[in-house]
Amino acid sequence: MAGYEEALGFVEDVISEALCLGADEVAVLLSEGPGSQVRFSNNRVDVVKTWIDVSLRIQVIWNRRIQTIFMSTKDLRSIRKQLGRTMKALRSLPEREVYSPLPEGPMDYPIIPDLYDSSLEDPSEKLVDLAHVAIDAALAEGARRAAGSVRSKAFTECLATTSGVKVCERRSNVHLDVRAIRNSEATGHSFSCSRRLSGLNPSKAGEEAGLDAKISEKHIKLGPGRYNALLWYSAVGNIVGVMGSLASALSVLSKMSPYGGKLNERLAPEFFTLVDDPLKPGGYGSRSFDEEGFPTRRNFIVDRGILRTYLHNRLTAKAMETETTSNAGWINPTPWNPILLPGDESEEDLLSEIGKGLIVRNATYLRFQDYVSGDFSAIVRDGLLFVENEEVVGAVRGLRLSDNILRMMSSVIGLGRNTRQIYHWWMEYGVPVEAPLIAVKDVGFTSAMI
Amino acid sequence: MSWSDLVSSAHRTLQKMPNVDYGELRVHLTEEEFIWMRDGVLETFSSSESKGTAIRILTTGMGFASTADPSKIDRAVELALKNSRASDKNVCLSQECFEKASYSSRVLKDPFSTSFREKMEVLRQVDSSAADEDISSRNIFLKLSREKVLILNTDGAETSGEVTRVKLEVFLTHVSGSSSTQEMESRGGSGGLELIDEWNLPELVRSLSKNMKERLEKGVSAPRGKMDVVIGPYVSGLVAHESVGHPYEADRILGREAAQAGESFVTPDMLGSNMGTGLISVVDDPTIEGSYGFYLYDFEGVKTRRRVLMKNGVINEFLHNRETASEFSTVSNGSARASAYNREPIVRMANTFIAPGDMDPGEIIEGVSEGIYMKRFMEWNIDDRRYNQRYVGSEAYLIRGGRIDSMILRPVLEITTPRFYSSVDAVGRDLEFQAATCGKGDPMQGVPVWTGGPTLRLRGVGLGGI
Repeated sequence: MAGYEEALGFVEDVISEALCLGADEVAVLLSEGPGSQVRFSNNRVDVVKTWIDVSLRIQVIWNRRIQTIFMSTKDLRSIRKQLGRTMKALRSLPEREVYSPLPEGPMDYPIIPDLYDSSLEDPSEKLVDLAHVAIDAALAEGARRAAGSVRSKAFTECLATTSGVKVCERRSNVHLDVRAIRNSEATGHSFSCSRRLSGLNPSKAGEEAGLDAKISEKHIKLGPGRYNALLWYSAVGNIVGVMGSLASALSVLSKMSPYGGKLNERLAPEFFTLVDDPLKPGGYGSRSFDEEGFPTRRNFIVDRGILRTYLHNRLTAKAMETETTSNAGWINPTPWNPILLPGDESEEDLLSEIGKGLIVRNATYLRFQDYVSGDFSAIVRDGLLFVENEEVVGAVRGLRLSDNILRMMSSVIGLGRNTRQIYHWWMEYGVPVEAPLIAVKDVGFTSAMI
Repeated sequence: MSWSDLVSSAHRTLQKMPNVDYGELRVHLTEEEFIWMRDGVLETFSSSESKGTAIRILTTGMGFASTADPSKIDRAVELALKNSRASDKNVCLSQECFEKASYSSRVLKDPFSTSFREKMEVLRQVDSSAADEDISSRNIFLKLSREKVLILNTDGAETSGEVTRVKLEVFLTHVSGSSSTQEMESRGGSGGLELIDEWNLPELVRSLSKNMKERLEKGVSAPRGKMDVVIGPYVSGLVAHESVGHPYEADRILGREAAQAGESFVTPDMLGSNMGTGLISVVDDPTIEGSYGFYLYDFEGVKTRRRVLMKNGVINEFLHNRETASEFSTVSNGSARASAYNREPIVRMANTFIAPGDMDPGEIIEGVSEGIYMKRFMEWNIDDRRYNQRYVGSEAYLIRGGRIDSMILRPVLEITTPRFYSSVDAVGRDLEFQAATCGKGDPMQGVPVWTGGPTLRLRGVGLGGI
């Protein structure tokens, strides 16, 4: 734990305060480090921001009663006051029927390479340059305007518990969104994200967005119906993020997931494997420990088409009489770094597979009619391209993706051979995804134009 | 550091602010308590405190920095100054008359000093009313918050506000065989726990629960095609928020949110043009006492007011902060809000609603010979220009011969914004509000709002689906 002495000393002070006030068990999670952002629109930088942020979370347990505290300070006087209120409140709480103590430490944690880049500790001027690269690239490909943001964070996270867990990790992130606008209805979007500043590719993102905006200008009419579809990375990020996040055991328990009662059932074809892999070097969501102090591990959510596990923290695992999957989330378990494993098809193969169909470049605003059934719709934007004979014929406007998440999983007909790390502004559950292009048969599209 | 120490520190910082075009300090504290009861059992109890200072500085451009650490405020000023020099948009702010003022919400029963047992009892009563009807899954959420904000700027603003809010949400799922249905209800306001009695949620939840069971037993397929559609206040409130509130936000119109939530089908030159029938007026009003989106001075220190966004079908006014007001050569109407100390103030709604008419809802339904009544919805979304929207009904009925007939399952209203507002031929007097958290910005900012509306009748619109 060399280099983390100050942070660990602080979290241990917080634990001592809580124990002194009568807590039985305590976990303290401190996350601290600077963040920066450059926001741009109409080809200019609107604002540059810097955050000197602290996030402190404390789980206080007394007699099988749990309260979670979120604070933005390291001021021990404020923390003591909050802990005092908590101890008073805990005495009024009912005892948890389903309870499992914090895990016993110390534990051994994996060392995951490439999670931190010190050049992201003070990057704001470089971020401004990267924003301009993205803008220029989009304009060069035919956009008339470009908008977006570049955001970074470099932070240290330390967790300590009364049961002997003591672990710290440094991580950094940087991501860029760029939206290219040719006219109000012809737009394109792309992104780039990495743990390292040097991993960001604003030029490629700008080019992709600019090209989509230009292609989208050629409008063709297409009515609502079912079409084979190729989901591009921006859309895949959102939809696969939803598929992974719905595996949270708490979502299943609270009927906010269509996966309830479907463990070990086939949801997708044999070639579809969705694994949560927080151990992947440089993974945008990789990390070595969960919020309860368990070392993270690979979990196959959907293995060769079969739903194999829900994602658990210690409490949901106890409720479902199983073991944690190291996906705590003190309140809600979450996938850390979901990866949809690639297939073996090129983009041309996939286009050939969908035949006469649609390329969905971006899908946002995904809302369920009923989480249990999985019926939902999502807004399609930044290029809904009609393809025929592997050629883009033109862009379709006014259609909405309206389908069922389970039906879509079962109707995947092809996966690309190249994956991309995906994180952009509209990720429904905020979970980064690595995934290939996905071809789906008979996707439903509806329209307001009837 | 206490609130008063932070305030003193902010005053000192303003005094020594470097010579800039504009400087602003916001001290922002939010305390929250969250209780989640799942199927009658406490699932989660959490509390939070977010406290810090935000600084904006305008030189060649706008710079922002924030810190939760009082010892780093001077450093944050330096960073905001540096950031302002790195921005290349020549931001101008509208000229405003500032004043020294403070306000607070009226609280009769302080939720933070009420016992946990009493709050649990509120949840238990709501849960019981659904449990008594054998609803399969029940999630009840109580969220309490207290937000204190002080704004100081180099133009002379010194405003402070303290708003306490209560929100009670219900999410129900009923499963019968292979069929399922869900409902969500959300009531909220500024004030104390006294608000909960007004909402009478146990009775509403009992009625919702009965309806959910009945629709799974007796519901028939929803019709499609062109017909008359009556929507209830639960639906019309969201329509107002999504298809008038958002597209009338001036920052979206100017393209500042283009890469995030999007732009707007409304352009600056559409002010004064017709968007709907003369029966429709849409208002956004932060000054409603007791409302969930209540405030009197915005987060740039500007005194806010009622905004009539659409007046008798005509686009009347956009929502502005000082930056957008300057670009439109007007003054701010006090629409700048920030969700926390580490977020910049941007253009936001507060309490957006379709103004009530004078018709009785029953009378509105009587005027439909063949159509549907969508009382509530679950699924909705709208495109990034706020032009193409969709609402899928949960509680919904056929109307035949002016009377409510059988229950229908999941009718789909997918419609453009101009079509919606030009199809309205009747407006009820039954204005109702739902509490919601409106998301916008990058990083995301969720702010409390009311969505409101009365019963509306739309003539000859399309019902779709797949």
